[in-house]
Amino acid sequence: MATKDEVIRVLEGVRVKFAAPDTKSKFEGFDRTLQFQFTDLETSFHTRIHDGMMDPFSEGELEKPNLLVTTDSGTLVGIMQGNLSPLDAYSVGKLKAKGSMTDLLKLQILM
Amino acid sequence: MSMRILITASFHEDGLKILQQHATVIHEDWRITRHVYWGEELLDKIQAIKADAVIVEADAVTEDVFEGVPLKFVGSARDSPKEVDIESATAHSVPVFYTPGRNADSVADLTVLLILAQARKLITTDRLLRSGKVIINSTEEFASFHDSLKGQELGRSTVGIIGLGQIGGRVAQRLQGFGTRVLFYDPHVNKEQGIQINAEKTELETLMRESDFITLHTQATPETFRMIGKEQLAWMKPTAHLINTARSAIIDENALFEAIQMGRIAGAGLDVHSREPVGSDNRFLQFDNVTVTPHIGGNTLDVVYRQSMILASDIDRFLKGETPKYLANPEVLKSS
Repeated sequence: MATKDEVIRVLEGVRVKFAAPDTKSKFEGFDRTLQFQFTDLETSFHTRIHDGMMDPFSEGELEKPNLLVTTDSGTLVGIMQGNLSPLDAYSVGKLKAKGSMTDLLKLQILM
Repeated sequence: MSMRILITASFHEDGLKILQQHATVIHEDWRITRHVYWGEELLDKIQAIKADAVIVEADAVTEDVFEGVPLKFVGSARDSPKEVDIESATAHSVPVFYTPGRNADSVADLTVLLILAQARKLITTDRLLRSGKVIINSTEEFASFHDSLKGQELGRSTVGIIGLGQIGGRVAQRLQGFGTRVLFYDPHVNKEQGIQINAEKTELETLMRESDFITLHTQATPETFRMIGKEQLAWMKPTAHLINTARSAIIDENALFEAIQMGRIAGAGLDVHSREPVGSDNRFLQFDNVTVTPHIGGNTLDVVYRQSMILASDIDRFLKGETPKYLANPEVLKSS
């Protein structure tokens, strides 16, 4: 289990990844809200991707996020550190995702 | 005839005919529409066409769907209906049909193909010839080229099967034809069951140490997550190959990459990957001694036929008031 501070750091890592020119170009015209829900921390963080930007993450829940990723803090940290792929985490039930298939495939680029 | 069934799975016409005896069928094959529905999107579709039941393959049938519409049943053209929220289906008394073993023969075929491809250096040979670099002007060059492509027969090899279920068992059966020595590791299968298909039960370490080809056929679960890691790969002979047509989560892919890069094992045949869909940027493509396929184990016409007939026959039984064979949540029928 990771701490809330570690989770905040890895979510900042998601934004750094997004800002890379190669990644950014793949999200042209993409306007979606994204929420990470952490089962062990009992909290959520959300952001919005729009106009080629990713807003800073805010703590709390959106009523209806376009993309919802439910996982535990350790799994997300593992993914962002490159120790685990999102697909492997999904395969063994460590991560659940809701949203459109196309959007979820796109989300893999950030993880 | 009031019932309407939405089918987004690939479905054979013979299966459609069976279902059309009971309902109006709206067939929108995801391979043709190129669209996969996920949760609420699927709910919108079901509501728009007033469907009473749905048969999916790639789409996700989430809690939103079960809460949003009273479905008569859900069919999942998968070995394990992972994309269907079974808990929610059960809570809403919706039976979920699925298709265990639908792709077992196809995956077993591909597994044997990958073993053979590795045994005969098929990819290495093909890549070399296509490279334009093979120009033979002397006996010495011919001998050197020919020697570099020396393979091995399966009849004098040992294949280790991890997981002797529907697919692993079929791989063992196919290998009998080659006269291969087959070992298996599976805590859920006893020695006698293995003997029936000429497979010897062993411990994992023995299997890893003695096999020339090791092939994975377990499900991805928290228990099997990375069951093949650095330690297990180190048990392999340097001449041995690893084949994975199951799930990438079973193996520590980074450790496998390193073992191949360092030449600690002879090669691999990989149909499943930690990053999918697989494109030309797959890192294992850099190795000539690795055969890479993009998760095509179950991608045959026969699987479409089999999944259609398993589901249509079972739904037919259910609608006639008979007991279906493959229900993911049989308690739904017991309680009704």
